[in-house]
Amino acid sequence: MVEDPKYYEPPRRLLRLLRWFCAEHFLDEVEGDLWELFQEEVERYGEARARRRFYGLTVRYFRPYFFDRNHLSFQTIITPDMIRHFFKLAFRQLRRQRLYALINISGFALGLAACILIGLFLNHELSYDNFFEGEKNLYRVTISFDVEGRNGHSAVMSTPVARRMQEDIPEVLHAARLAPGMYDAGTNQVRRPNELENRYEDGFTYADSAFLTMFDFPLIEGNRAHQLRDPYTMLLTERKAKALFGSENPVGQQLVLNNSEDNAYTITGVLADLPSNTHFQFDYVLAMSSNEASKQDNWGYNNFLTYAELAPGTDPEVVEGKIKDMFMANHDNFRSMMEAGNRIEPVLQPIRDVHLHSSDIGGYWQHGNFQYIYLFGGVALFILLLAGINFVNLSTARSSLRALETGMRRVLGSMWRQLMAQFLVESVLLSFLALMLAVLLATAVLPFFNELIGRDLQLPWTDPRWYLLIFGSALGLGLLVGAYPAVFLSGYEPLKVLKGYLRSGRSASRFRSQLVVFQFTVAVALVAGSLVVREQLNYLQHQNLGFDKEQLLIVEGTYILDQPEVFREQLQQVPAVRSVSMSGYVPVEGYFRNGVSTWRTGSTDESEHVPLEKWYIDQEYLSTLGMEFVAGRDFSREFLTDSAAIILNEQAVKELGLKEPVGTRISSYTYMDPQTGEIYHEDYTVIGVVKDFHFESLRSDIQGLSLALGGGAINTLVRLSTEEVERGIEAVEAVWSDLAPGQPFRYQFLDEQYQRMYAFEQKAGSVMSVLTGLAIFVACLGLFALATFIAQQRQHEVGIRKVLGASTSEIVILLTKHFVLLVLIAILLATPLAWWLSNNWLADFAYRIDVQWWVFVVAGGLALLLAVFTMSYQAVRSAWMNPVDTIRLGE
Amino acid sequence: MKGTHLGEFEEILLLAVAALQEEAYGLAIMKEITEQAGRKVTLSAVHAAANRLEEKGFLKAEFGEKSARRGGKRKKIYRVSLEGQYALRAAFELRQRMWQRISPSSFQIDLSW
Repeated sequence: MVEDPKYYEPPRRLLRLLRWFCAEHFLDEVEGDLWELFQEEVERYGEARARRRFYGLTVRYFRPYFFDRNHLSFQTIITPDMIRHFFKLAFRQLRRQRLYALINISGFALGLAACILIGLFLNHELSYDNFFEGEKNLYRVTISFDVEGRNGHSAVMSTPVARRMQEDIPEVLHAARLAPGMYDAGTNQVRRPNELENRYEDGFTYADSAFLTMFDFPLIEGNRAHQLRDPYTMLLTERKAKALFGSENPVGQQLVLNNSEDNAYTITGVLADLPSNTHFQFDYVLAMSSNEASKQDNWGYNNFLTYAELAPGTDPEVVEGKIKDMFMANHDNFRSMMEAGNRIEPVLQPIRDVHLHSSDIGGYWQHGNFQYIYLFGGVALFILLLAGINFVNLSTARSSLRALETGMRRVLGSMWRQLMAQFLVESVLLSFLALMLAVLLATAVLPFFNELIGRDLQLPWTDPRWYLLIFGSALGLGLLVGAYPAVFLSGYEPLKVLKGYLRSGRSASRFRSQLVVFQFTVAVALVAGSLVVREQLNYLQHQNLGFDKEQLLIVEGTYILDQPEVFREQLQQVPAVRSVSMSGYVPVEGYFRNGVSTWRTGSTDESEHVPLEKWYIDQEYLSTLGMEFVAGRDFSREFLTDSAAIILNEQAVKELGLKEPVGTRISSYTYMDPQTGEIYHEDYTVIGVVKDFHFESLRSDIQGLSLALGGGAINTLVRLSTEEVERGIEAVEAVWSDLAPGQPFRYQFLDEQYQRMYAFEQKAGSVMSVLTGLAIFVACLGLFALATFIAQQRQHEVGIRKVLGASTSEIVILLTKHFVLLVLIAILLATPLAWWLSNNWLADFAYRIDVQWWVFVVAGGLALLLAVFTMSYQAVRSAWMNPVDTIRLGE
Repeated sequence: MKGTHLGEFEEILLLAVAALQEEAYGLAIMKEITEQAGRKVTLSAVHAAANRLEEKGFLKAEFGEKSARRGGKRKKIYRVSLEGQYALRAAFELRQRMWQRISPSSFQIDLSW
């Protein structure tokens, strides 16, 4: 026998597709020729390419001439007339079943509106920094470290990193530093040279000249090539230019910062206002060259956000390795820490990730958090899903009412496909009506939503993709939720239906029950989750911080006063003022921080040097803030030697490993001589230990802290007496305007600043609560409709039971017990789910509540209560009906 | 008129079928046209046109043997019907008449063959 030569088989799926749409009488010829051609192409091009080409060959047959008319052609089976007929029927259904239509439409509308708003928010969050030319090559340089058990991620680099990267690493095309918050880039008193009155402004940053080369922020005035080169030149945004200069052209004008007329800045350009979707937050950009500290090569001076532009196609990991080598070669401290077995890794963070993936990176600007992206998106989709389930459940439950219609249509020659189409038209129509409502709703709610999340979002009416998206999703939603009921309804055996054998199938009702359980599981889990979030936020606000944050006024920027001591003395005369302290360090995020290497005097072992916060305070600081001492004493004006004294917190004592802290001598780094490399330090005697207090967000642990005298009057902290807060502020302001005429009076309350640290969680919590409310409402809507339907169906039975002596409560129980059981199952399922999710969320906080059992009781109880309440209305109504009416109706 | 009119592609296809004789099935026709006319023709275009010509009566077709190289399918072998031959002839004559009306002096290329 001759062996069969091997033939290559064309892609089977494509052949199946061909057989599906292509009319039978073409198939032998077409398929055969395609096979043969495929054999030749495999021999010529190889199998992979032939398979790819085969796709193109087959698809070309997808044209009406080859279609199987009996099976595909819509023109003949579904005519425009028929579609008109479907719409008429669908509208009739809606009108006849007003309650169900209302429930379905409102459920969909709520779900869609939630999705639109949340989608808008997510779209905005995900669009951060995507508009820069060549954004794919732009990175922020960060350092991830794990040093002596402390791990973290930092975005501030030392002075020479940017310059050395650009010089030493060929893949780095440009590198630029940004320094918000230091020297002139802090918060500023601003005026024009010929003016006397200052304005208070923030949003300053220093920037290297390469910054504008890398990031193409549009320039409205000025020449891009010449920006930020010369010292004491600056740019500002359009809105600030308008505010300061009105219609004048600001280019060439000068601004005086903090009254230092000798170093006025000359404006060389105007930037367009920054878009809302960038992580950069500034209004004034100062030339980095005006900042002396930025010119010294100090590898220990970590104050610069550093950005790099890589050559297109560069693997960032390669550059990360080179940055590490650069650190090893130049940065002594880095090298010794690496040699001690610590892990320190430079990480290039893509510019688009900065906004959402920086929650572990402290920094100057507030960022978003990608976890909330998933959370909100997920919950909004769930609400839509719950509404979809309502539709499915109501349609299948009420299918018996339409079974007769379906049977009749089939007998009269309607085809299965036509019935499907009819039901799908109904669901699509419903979802489009819901869409219109949802868009109206979203438009109306948008201002409140913006307020809630602190953004300024708009519905993108001018974007064609938006229309595509909403119409697409309405169509998709309609088809998706319509599919199951359509199959279900059109699948009835016409004969059985017409003969009256209809049983609304057991499997369908079980499926319905499962869906109800699912709905309530989601609802209960959401309620429990929101409760946990609320509890945690509550806990954060009432946590004992180790100091008294109430009635503490922070007067900011008091360093501009010529004689701060006079201010202090005059304030102490004010009856509403209990005590006054002056310091730049305030135990809440947003004020001065540092990290200073500290060691027991005499210790030469590098590993015993620990980084401590070192705050400069005055003698009244600790008593004004109400901090407690564990050992030793506070600073006092009576001891002149206190200038060489230091106070530690408990954590610092632990980190330094001191047994008898009071009286111990410790040293702390002051600066390194850039020429000689010699390290200067100062010696102190510990005079007291203060109880640990929280000076950062409760997301992180308390760090080691040392407190020394000095630092000047950056801010003035004023403790007011409880009864006279309003009067106290007025009195303090009066003293201020007396001493600093023409200077704006700026103050904050410590407790409000404290709240601000959790602003993001607060917003997230409110959004979650609203979404939870919507979810449970939609679930209850569905239950209400199901209960109504069941009550109607069983009214005959209820009537007979009443005649036979059943009481109202028995009937209510009869009608509701099935659903109560379902809700109970849902509670059982939701509890572990919500427990797991809550613990995941809480893991972010160093100080957190334990998830309490009562949360689940409340969530479950609430769901049960709402469910029973929803159903009772119908149940009681049918129980109170006159049996005569219901039984007679059944005849 | 409509009954005998041939489109350009139809005409070429009919000529190819005539030239191929016993071997005039879809794939072979495609290759013949590709070779002679030097243009890319898709298989689906050949199939659609051939079947339309069959419907119009210009082609007749019968099925050949099944073969494994064709996935067990038969070849559909075409042959030009009498109507087809008339139509080709008519097209050819039309062209000839038109050509003869062209005066050689108005043409750049040499018309004498």
